[in-house]
Order: sequence, then C-alpha cells, then structure tokens
Amino acid sequence: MTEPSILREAEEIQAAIVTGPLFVIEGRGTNWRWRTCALLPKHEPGPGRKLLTRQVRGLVDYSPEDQVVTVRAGSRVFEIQRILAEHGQCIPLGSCGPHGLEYGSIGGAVAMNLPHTLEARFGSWRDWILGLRVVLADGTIAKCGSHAVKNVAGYDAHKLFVGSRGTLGVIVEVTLRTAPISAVESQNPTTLELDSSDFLATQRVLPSDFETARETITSAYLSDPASSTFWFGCGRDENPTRYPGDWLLRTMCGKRNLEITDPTQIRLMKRAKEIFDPTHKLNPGEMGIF
Amino acid sequence: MSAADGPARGSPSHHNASVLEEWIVDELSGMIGPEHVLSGPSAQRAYDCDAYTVDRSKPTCVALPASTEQVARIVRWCNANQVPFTARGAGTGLSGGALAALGGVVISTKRMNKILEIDIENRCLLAQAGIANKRISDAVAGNGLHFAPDPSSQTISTLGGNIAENSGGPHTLKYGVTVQHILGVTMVDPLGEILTIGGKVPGGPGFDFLGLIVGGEGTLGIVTEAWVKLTPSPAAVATALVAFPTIRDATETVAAIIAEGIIPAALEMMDANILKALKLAFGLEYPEETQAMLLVECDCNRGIAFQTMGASGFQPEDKVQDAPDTHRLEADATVQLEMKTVQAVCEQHRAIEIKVAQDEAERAKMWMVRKKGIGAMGRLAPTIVTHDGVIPRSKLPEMLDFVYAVASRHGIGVANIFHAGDGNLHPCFYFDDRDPKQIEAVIEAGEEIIRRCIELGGSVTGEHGIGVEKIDLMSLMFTPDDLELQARAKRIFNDGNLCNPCKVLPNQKSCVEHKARWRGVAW
Repeated sequence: MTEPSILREAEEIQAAIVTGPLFVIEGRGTNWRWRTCALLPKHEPGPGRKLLTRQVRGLVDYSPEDQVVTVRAGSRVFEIQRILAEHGQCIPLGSCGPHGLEYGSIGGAVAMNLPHTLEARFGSWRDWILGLRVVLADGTIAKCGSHAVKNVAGYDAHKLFVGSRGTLGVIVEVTLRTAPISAVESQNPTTLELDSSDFLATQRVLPSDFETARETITSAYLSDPASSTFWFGCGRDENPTRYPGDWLLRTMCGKRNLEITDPTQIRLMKRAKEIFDPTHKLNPGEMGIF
Repeated sequence: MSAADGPARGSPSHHNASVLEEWIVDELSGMIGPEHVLSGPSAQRAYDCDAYTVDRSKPTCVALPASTEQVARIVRWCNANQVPFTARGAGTGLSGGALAALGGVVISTKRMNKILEIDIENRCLLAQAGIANKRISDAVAGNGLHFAPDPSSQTISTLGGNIAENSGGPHTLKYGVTVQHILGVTMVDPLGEILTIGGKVPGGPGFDFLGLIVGGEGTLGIVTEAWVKLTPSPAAVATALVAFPTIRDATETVAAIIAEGIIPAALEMMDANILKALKLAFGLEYPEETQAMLLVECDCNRGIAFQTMGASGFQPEDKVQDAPDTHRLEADATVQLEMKTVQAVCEQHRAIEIKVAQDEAERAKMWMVRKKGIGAMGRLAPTIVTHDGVIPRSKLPEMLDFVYAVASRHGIGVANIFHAGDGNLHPCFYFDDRDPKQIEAVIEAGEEIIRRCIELGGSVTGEHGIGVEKIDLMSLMFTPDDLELQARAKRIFNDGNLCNPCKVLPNQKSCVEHKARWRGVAW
C-alpha cells in the first residue's frame, strides 16, 4: 500500500551507497555497545560516511489472519510490537539483557541477531524471517524469500543477512511471521529490571556445561537454561572461562566484541564478502575478520 | 598416482560414449570397489529420475560411497575430469533434485546410513546423510525424544535429502521445517573439499551458511553427515478428525482456529476425493455428506524453565523421561483445553462429526489415513501428479474454489490433501498418462494453479523444491535482481557447473541446450 515510497526510500539508500567508498550503517544506534566498528556514536566516521536507515520506517503490510507482517527496517521494535498487540500477536522476542532491543530498529536487531530468552521455545530472527529486501553494496535492490510462511523456492539468501552486521548489504524491509501473545505469555517471561552496565557479555554453552558455567559466572544478570545462555557483567580486561563449542559476544571491547575463529567459517565468510562487497564498503571492521 | 589426482591414463575424451562410460566406471571402481558402482542400461534406467517422473536423464553410472572421504575422492575426480555429479538419497524427491540433468555420476548416500553419535544430554545426534528420517526418531524414542521434521515419506526419505530440500511435514506448523532442526553438517563442497559447518551450540556470530546449505537442493555440495536437534516428545497429545459438509466450512475453520491464538501441532485437510480413495483403500468411515475433513492435533511440552539467577536460584529443567506427574497433568489439561476450543470453533463452522482419538491406536490410525492419502490415490486413476504451492492461509477458501474450477475446465480429476495450517496446498491430479491430451491438460492446470499462488502472495513451492520441475517458474516469483542475489549466494559455494547442474536457478550456462534433451522424455 505504501509501495512507491518504499521504493523511493530504498532507492535513496541505493543512490547514496554507490557514491561513497565507505559506510557505517546505523539504524537507531541502540546497539552501539555490541558493535565492533571503532566508529561509535562519539566518533565521526573517518574516511567514510554514516548511512542511516532510521527514516526507512513504517508498516508495509500486515495480515493478522496469516500471522505475517512486513515492515520497513528503520521501524522501532516496540512500535511494531504495539501494532501487532492490537491483534493479539507479537514478535516472540524475549529479554536480551539490560540494554533491551525494543527501542532499536528491527533492521538493526536482525543484523545483530543477539540472543534472547525465548529463543529455545520460539526461535529467533532466522526462524521468523520469511523474506527481506536489501540494498547491496553495488546498489542492487533485491528481495529474497517470500511472504508465505512456508517457502522453499530458491536459495534462502535472506539467512545470510541475519547476523551479518550490515557487512553484506543494507536491510530495508523485513517480512516475518508473528506469534500469538497468549502462547508467549503462557511461558511467563520474567521482565527484568536490570542495572545498566557498559560492560556486558553474553555466552552460550552446551547444555551439559550449563551447570558448571553457572557456578563460574558470578556476575550474571540473566541466565536461560533452555538455551544455555548467560548475560553477565564482564570488564574490558576480563577473560571469561570458555567451554567446548561455546560462543561469546561482548560489549565495549571493539574488535574483541566478537570472535570468529573457525578457519572454515572465516574462509567462507571472506569468500561471501568478496562476492557481495568486494571493496569492503559496508561497515568495515564490524565482523572483526573484515 | 591416485585416480582422484587428475585426468590419468589418458582420459578418453575423444572416444565414443560407451568407451567413456567404461572408463568412468573403471576409475570409480578403483576408488570404492566395483561392487559399489552400478552401471549398464538397467541401472541407468532405475536412476534416470526421482519421484518426479516427468523429466528423465540417464546418469553414466551410480556410485555408492561409504564415507565422507570416499565422496570427496569421487567429487575431486569428477572435477579433474569435468564429469558432472549429482547427489541422491532415497529418490523420493518430487521436483527432480536428484536428476542427473547433464548425465555423469549419481552419488548415492544409500550405504551411508549409520548413526555415529547420540548425545542425549545435549539433545542432539550425529548421523550419516543416508539414514532414513524415521530411524533417527526410532533411535531416541526410548529417551522421550524425536527428530521433528516428518515428511510423509519419512520411513524411506533420507536425512541428506531432507536437508537438501529443507523438507517439511504435517508438524511444521508448530515445530518448524528441517532447517530449524539441523545444528551442523559435514559436507563435501563442489570442488571436493570436506567442510564442517555449524556445531552443537547454535546461534553463534558470523554468517549463517548452514541456513543456506539446508534447502540448497544439493547444488552447494554434498552433505554427508549432520548433527540434528532432538526435540522432547510431547507430554500430552490430542488428535481429532472433523468432518465438514463443504470445503469452505473446513477452510474457514482453519483460519478461525489460528485466529483463536492456538498453534496446533498439525492442521491437515483432506477433501472428498481423497476420502473416497481412503475409503476404498483402508475402509475409512465418515458421514455420507462429508465434503472435507480436518485432522487437528494439539500437543504440549512442559513449560521451558528459565529465570534469573536471583533469589530463587536456578531450577534445572526436568529430565524428559521422568517428568513429574504434575507436569503431565498440567500438559494434559492444556491440551484438553486447546482441543475444547478447537471443537467449539469446528462446531461454529458446521462440523457434522468430531472424532477425538481415545487412545494411541486410534490416533495412529488417523495419522495413517493422512500419511497414506496420496498412496491411496492409486485407487482412483493410474497416474497422479502432486503439486506443491503455497498461499497465505487466509486465501485458502478462494484458492480451493479456483483449484476445482481449473480441474473441471480441463476435464481432469483433482483431489486435495494438504497442510492447511501453513497454507501449503498439494492439489493432486489423477489421470491416465496413456492419453497425451490428458498429460497436456495436467501440465496446463498445474501452471495455472502455481501462477495463482504467486498472484495471491504465495510461493511456487512450499516443501518439494524447485529442482528442474519449477525452474521456469522462478522468474514469475523473482525479478532478475532477486535472482542475481540468489546466484551470488550460490557462488559462495558453487561457482562451476558440475555439482548438480541445471537446478534451482534458470538460464544456467550449458543447461539450455541440454534441457531439450531431458525435458518431457517420459511423455
């Protein structure tokens, strides 16, 4: 229903993206603690420019009876939740630690793919997203996936963008399935009033290591046994105990915010980057490895 | 030197076809043993298609490796000698994914059917790609766990095939499709290198290649082993078969149940023609005026425990096998309540009979009826073609009207048995394939239906895949730029044209001229 303006705005991003050598992409800027780019809000992006997606916002389409919603990527998560709530539905996003995602943009939430407390029961962005519209580094505007809750037509290219931290393209539109609020409420999610901390980490371990980790982590704000995930205070110089197969994300530690160490994963990511963004125009440094 | 290391012993590229064939068979026999290479006219005929039988193409031979290393060796040899190769599981695919479109070697995972490791504590299992889906669930049933994806072919279709097609099944409505249940894979990439992607702990940082591999239709490499997630079996289940006087009553009930905020474990629909076949095949009984039936299943797992590490401390989740009675009672109560709501909705929509399974035997019978529905179609006509379109659930009533109108206009029979909750249609045309006019009508009717699915905002395939069958329909759903994005995603893994060529993306190099050769050979 608002198709022309979306295209125009996606095209504005397209027009901008082909002009510059380097861009830092930002939604609402609420995830800055988790980002690895040295280009935090206080800093001006050096040789490049900031590309803001926050104006690409608003509802595109919502079909409550199909439990499918399409929104533009700059919309705030809580704004979308409010619209869905009018129809008894929601995005089943649990707590993500002290710095909640609700004020951030949905595009940013998808790009960061941070863990949350309802993940074991309701999945996460990779499970909810049915389709995306993206602007690629060369200015191509493309959609992937569909609006159908079940679809295996073609390659699930949209999965690559979930958690890609804006290094493969700019997400401009998100189509996802919603869940009934009643199902989520029956899970009795605890709303946590947590102290804000500038130094936070989140770690997921194997279920078999959960007990041991729980005893080791003394500064936990939140733990979710169902997904074996912890959110805890973690100073810049601290080195949390690691467990086989685990992963760790931190805040305020620059490139150490995320670690990708598996050689196969690194090699494939570099190949993907080479194909999608060969001049490393988008969010340089954000993935640590490029 | 090893056969895999290059075009050894003077590859007979300039000789005739049978010499070339003999040479390929010899080379592969040297790698995995002559008893594991099938060749000759009968093998070529047996492997010239999967369960999508309209397109056929003979492979040069069929290799049956026993390990990831053997697969890698074969793939490296194929690369060195520019021989195309295509992976195959049980051959139950419905879009031609296992068709050797350019000939070459079919790499069957038939012998790679072992469970390698079971990790109950972490609720996961490592198996080889050739294992039948159902065997995974059987192996852990005693632990109160199961592998959730349950395509109707699950007694024979393989884990590798399910991964390639991102298979669904009746329970995807609540439990998701295959991609939600794969934690990691070991695969042989298109150049023959062994890669391990993902692991037991999901959700880590970096690009989600696993999400791309699952559903890659075997074009991004050959998955040889996978860590799969094991899901607790429900603590309580209720299943009902509900009869309706009209199709519309049934389809509107589907939307109404979801609108109540209930996510049934399964919500399946069968129309009068399917019921007729089931009556003939299995003696299914139902009220005479029934035009449609819904199979509704509600289930419940115990609540997932999560809480802060605050005053009350951490409370570990209970072991699945000894869930306390209170939990079971709670689950029972939840399921009964859901089923009551479902029954009320059905009654509001003029249900003429609601049968709730009283015990496990009755429940199993209800499911047998659903899962054997397509098979029972053999009672109605010599040939059937099953389609696989998706529409938004709310469009079900008008879409079904359209399906019946199309079939009647073309003078062919159609029966509908499908995953109503997902809006995933399986119109099943039945006809006599000895009559070329009927074949033509079936093809045309199928395309009309798929086009309508796209017009209504759906998809050309919900769970069967693109393969070769729907390759020409891709451009109806995607713009050239959209397809370019998919092509880039493919290139991360496959930048050549040897690994399962001519599938998924239209207009591939060297496929256009070959297409004339295999398309419609069966007609």
